[in-house]
Amino acid sequence: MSHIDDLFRDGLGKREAPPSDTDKLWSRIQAARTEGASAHVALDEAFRKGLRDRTASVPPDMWRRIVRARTLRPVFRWVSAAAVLLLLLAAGIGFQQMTKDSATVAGNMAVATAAPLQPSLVASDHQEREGRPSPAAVAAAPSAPGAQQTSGRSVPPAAEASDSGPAAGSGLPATAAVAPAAQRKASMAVLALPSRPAAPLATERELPATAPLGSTAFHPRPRGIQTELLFGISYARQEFHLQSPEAADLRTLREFSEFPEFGYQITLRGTRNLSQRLRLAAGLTFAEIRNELEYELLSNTGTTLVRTNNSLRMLEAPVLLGYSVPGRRLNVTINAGPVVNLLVAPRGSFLHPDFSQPLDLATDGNYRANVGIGFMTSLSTAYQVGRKNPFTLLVEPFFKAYPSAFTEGAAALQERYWVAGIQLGVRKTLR
Amino acid sequence: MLSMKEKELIDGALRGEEEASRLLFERYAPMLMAVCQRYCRTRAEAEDVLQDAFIRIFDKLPKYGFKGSFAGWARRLTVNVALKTYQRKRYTNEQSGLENIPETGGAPRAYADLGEQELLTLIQALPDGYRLVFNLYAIEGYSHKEIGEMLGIQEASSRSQLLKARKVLQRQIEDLQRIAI
Repeated sequence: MSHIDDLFRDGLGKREAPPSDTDKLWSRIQAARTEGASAHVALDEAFRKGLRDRTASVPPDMWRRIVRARTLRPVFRWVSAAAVLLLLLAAGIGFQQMTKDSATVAGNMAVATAAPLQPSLVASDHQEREGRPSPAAVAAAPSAPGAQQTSGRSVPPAAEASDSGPAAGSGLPATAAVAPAAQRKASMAVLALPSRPAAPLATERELPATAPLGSTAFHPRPRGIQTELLFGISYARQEFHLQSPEAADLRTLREFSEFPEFGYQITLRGTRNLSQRLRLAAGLTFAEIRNELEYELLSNTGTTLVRTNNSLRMLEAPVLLGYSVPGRRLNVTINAGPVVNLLVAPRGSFLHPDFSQPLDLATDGNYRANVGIGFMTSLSTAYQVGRKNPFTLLVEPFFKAYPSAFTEGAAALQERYWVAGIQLGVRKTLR
Repeated sequence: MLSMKEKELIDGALRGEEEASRLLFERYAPMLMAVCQRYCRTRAEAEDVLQDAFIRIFDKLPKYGFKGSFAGWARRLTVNVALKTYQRKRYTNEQSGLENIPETGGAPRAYADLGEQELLTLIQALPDGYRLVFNLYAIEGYSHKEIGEMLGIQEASSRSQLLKARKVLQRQIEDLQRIAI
């Protein structure tokens, strides 16, 4: 063994001077570094010199465009403010009109009960001749002495006696004789002030009790459970919050590459009236929040724009308490309450600065299985269609917010949403 | 240092005189249009950014206060408007393998042969993120720290984007050279 050692030692160990090309080697290394750096500097310098002080032609109408945009901006602000005020005013007038309509309905009902009194005076005359008590007579029960008091009958005997006579003796047509007699009787009934409280009108007992002002007089509140089926489109606002500064790049990348799209939701719920104005609604909602992932893929052949869809599918149980402002056919209800999120299923992919390929949302997105309790508020407008077997059309703009993040607590980037949309549907009473 | 003429125009614009505002626009619009073209992909986008930039310039004119060069102040506002426009747009993700492209030195002489229009075309062909960082660093002269603050990214990301932008530009310049030969 020592011979081999001696061989190598003799061949190599006797070299006294270090390799003469170490200096050259070091120079070459330095030169390469400098060359790279100088190439960068040269590249930057070339672009800076060529472009920094460059001027370009301006479209001839650019000044006009700027003046118009500057003029329109304050006008746009005033018009927007005016539009909002008009909308509020219209809503207020509509609300006033609805309550006025309800009052008018109740008032009409009260007038309708009084109208039949006139024809009943004629009819009551016939009834009196037949010996039956007349409502008009009952209402104005005179206490003239000698008046014969029967159950409900208080017509002065002289008037009564004259009624039965002239019609038969005068030869006049019966109807002609009856009418004037009825009028005399009516006037006598009016003149004869009752000395004791009059018995209530029979008509009042026959008619249904009038509801208080502001209620749906024609359509009494249905009892039992009503079913509602709604379909809506929605817009979900995605918000990212940093849990740690290291996730800043990830947040920037996701904000730049993910864009909201319209989502949808389908709701099946039952509602029950708790009182005249309060109702409770509960059910199930299937909702989908949608985003578009967009990025450019660089390859040796060029740049390709890639667009894919991400979605968060959710199953939720809303429980809403509503306060109704009723009208004749139109009914407005303000609803609010919790939304219990039962399930969240993410689908799609996202970009990460540390990876060259997009990652899967379901496996790498750190999403929670459910996001707990959210909050929902909506404004239902219900319009009744049909009379015999009516059903109700519903238009319901809504807003949902989720205080909890959709991602795990330990995730560096917290993802939150709020959702706004509008639902259309039908309501039917289960019998 | 502002010339008397410039000062008069700025004063007139501050008083709301349309003639002074228009003359100020005509004086600086060509320079700012060139800035917009560097930050935008297309001429239509550049025109929209220029319109928004001038609206912002006239809105913020009271804040200028005659501190420093008006051209520099207007250029900075224009760059900010261009950045805000692209902060809502798509971001680029590179395919793996780009880092493996060897860094060729490139002949400095080759860069100098490129004309203004060629340089502009090369810049406009860059992906958005690369274009923003390259403009801000190489042409405007901002540091990576300042770029990170402006774009809301880490300083390291700014360096990385610049490196990648240079690689893409070098490759495209070499392609141009090959075509020319």
